[in-house]
Amino acid sequence: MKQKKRCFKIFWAWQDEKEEHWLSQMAKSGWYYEQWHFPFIYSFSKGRPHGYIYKSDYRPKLSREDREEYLAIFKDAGWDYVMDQLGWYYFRADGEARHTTELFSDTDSKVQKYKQLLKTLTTIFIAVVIIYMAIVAFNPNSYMLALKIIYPLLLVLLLFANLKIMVKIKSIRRLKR
Amino acid sequence: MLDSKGLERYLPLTHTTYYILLALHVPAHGYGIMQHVQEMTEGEVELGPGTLYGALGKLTKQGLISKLDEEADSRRKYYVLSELGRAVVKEEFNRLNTLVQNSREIVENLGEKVTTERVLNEKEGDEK
Repeated sequence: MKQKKRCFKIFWAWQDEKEEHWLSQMAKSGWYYEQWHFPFIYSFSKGRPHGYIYKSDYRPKLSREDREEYLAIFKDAGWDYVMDQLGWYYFRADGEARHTTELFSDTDSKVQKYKQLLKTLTTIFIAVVIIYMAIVAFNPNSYMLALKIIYPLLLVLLLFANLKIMVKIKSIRRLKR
Repeated sequence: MLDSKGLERYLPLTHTTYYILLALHVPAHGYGIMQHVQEMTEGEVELGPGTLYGALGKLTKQGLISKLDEEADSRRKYYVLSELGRAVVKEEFNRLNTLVQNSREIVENLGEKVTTERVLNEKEGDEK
């Protein structure tokens, strides 16, 4: 029976690089990332400590056929598929191998990842606003009280996430050589 | 076929796009393109898989390349330059070529002899 371990750790949508780094550190100490479960539970299995590099990509709405091709291209380039969850795809490559390319080799495609994320977050934001206005905000029932607090908080969080990602896009563009 | 005016809206191409289109003068799959580009540029340009996948989707949508139907290995999809793609590559080549031609004389005469000293001397002269 393989040894397993679960960790509770929160990474927000704009902290993908921090998460990648953490997953790589875990592999270095012999814990290989396997699954993610709500809310923020990372499960790992025990293996030999190794310098694997973990990277994530965001691709919501890949069709089954596209997904096969997508994974094949990553595999050929030396990036093994680990798992995907809510549109986030996780890959790992052997950092000790002679040569590993980055997932993105130009600014445009790097920015595209975050633009896609921005699109999703904006869609959720609009959906939450609509639900809030239509059902929650003007509902006199007392059991709605909890939602009257949770929804505005959720909206603030989503707005903050949008802002953080916009700043990120800007800084990537600024770094462009 | 589009005239050069119609082609202009695709230009200028990014490094990534230009090299991918060049690599697809013969049919190739994703990894084939990566290798081809690496050979072409003597290792200088390495396409990331995320960058390549995104570009293939975009270029197919624009009609500059087309996906070939079922190959023996169905996991790997083959692509090839379309007629439009061919025209766009030629147009970009001509654009870059004109740029080089027009600037050659000036740039070559800039040489390495322009030293800080000369620049400073000229500056002093200006001030006087």
